[in-house]
Amino acid sequence: MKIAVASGKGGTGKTSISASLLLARPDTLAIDLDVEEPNLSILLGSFEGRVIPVTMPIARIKRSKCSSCGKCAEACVYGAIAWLGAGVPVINESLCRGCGLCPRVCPPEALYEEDQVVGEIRSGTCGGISFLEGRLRVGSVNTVRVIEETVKKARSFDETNWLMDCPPGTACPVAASLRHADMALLVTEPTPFGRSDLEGMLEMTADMRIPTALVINKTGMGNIVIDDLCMRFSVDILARYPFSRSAAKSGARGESPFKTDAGWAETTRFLWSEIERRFP
Amino acid sequence: MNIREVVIISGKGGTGKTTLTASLASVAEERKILADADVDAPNLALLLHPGESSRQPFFGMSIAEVDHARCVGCGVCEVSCRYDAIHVRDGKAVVDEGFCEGCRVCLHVCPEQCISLKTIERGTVRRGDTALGPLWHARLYLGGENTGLMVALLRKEARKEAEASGSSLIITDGPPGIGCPVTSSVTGADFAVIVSEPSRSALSDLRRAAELCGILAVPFGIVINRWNLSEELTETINETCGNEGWPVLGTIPFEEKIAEAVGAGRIPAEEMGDALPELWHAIQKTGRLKR
Repeated sequence: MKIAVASGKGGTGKTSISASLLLARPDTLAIDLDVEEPNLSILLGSFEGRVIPVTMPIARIKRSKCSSCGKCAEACVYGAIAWLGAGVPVINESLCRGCGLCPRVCPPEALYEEDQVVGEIRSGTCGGISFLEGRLRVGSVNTVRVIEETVKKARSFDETNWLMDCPPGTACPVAASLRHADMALLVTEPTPFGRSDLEGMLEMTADMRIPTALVINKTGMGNIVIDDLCMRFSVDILARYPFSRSAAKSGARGESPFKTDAGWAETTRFLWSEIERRFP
Repeated sequence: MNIREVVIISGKGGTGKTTLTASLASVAEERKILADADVDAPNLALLLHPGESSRQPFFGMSIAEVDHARCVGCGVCEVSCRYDAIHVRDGKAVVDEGFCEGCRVCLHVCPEQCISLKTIERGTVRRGDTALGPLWHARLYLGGENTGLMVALLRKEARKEAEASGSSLIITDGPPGIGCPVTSSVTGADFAVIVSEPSRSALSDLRRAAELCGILAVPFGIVINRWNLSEELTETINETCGNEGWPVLGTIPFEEKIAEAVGAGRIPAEEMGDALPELWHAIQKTGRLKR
């Protein structure tokens, strides 16, 4: 079973609940796909393993071969190649998306590609749990590339049970993560923002036909009702975690509340039994 | 008229960007325009309650479309696509619209020349009046590409209106993370406010957000929200900022009444007390928003 933990809104507790589920079932492969802000390892423990670079081909130009025809600049839809009507075109690397079109259209083969590092994958164990993390290099915009490479790497692990800690939002990074999931566990909070973003997530998992269930975190911090959403999308709430300052405090220090709060640990075990009962 | 633009970001989601954006807007006396650049999880409207005065479709980049009458299912497109966005299924190439970036490689390699480009609507850009000024906001359709492009369009509209209406300030509620939409929100802004909170995760994300602002050459300062949830970590963040030379603009406490106001769809300006105007003053000063 490949479980994706997602939320729409950031900060609802995806990572805290992911870490707790993993600590309760350490034979599950932990995959941090929130590659812009990977934080799962902070709650799991110390990392041991290796760091693998994630690269992407970026366009380069061999000036001596260039015939100054301008075809590359005309072809690039990202505006990454500037050509002023004469001379050798200039490539803006930060706009290049590595699509590979420009070398194909260059008559004298002056354009070529060179791998550039856009992020890294940490592969090994974290707190004794098999662990993978994608980490986007700051300044790069190739979030989806790092997610895809991390998932590819996950397929080389022995574990068939995965838990993917997903990015926030409802745009392409989330879609890229969800498409590898057998089920989506959506973490929400009873606030207007939580509800609004949950609605977007529910539409998305329905659209992608991924079996979906909910967890409400920080109950007591707001009184927004989501029963109508549960009815409309036919999804169930599997567990509720109360808002507690002590859980927030231990999480803040990088200690999972699963280890420090008996009630939290109990809810996590109950959540696992519900997941297994409903998604056999 | 010199227009100054301040963008609120955080790295980590859920640190309070939107609540703080609305609260700061309520104490900023300048004539201003507001923008919600968190286009795939937009929430600023839930506190500002705009009416709707205009609505326009957003198209973004064109994407590939296959003429199935002519496609022979050879798969050349599939192996050439770097975005894993086109696959041969049941003998015909099928485009995954959520992943196609419109690069045209498939058009170029297709031996049957049966692939063309089409424009699809990727979202909606809206404008509405609020008690604090006009709000430009948008909604990207689910799973959408082109968030960065949409943010750029939204900021352009906000700036156009600021120029036309003689507004001196644009306040933008940014997205979480450090990827495409964040880069698009921060590039060219006059000042970025990074909202952090006392946790090791938020500190790790703060470092990445600060590094991004450095790369984009946008000056920034830090707000520690809910500082009293962990005084120990607040101290750690303060120390980190001191060591790195990052200005701490202010702190906002965690209080039930702030959460309650947001829960009721109200801007918690009163509930934040003096910390809020003091914070705005620090942003104006550090960000040189006033001339």
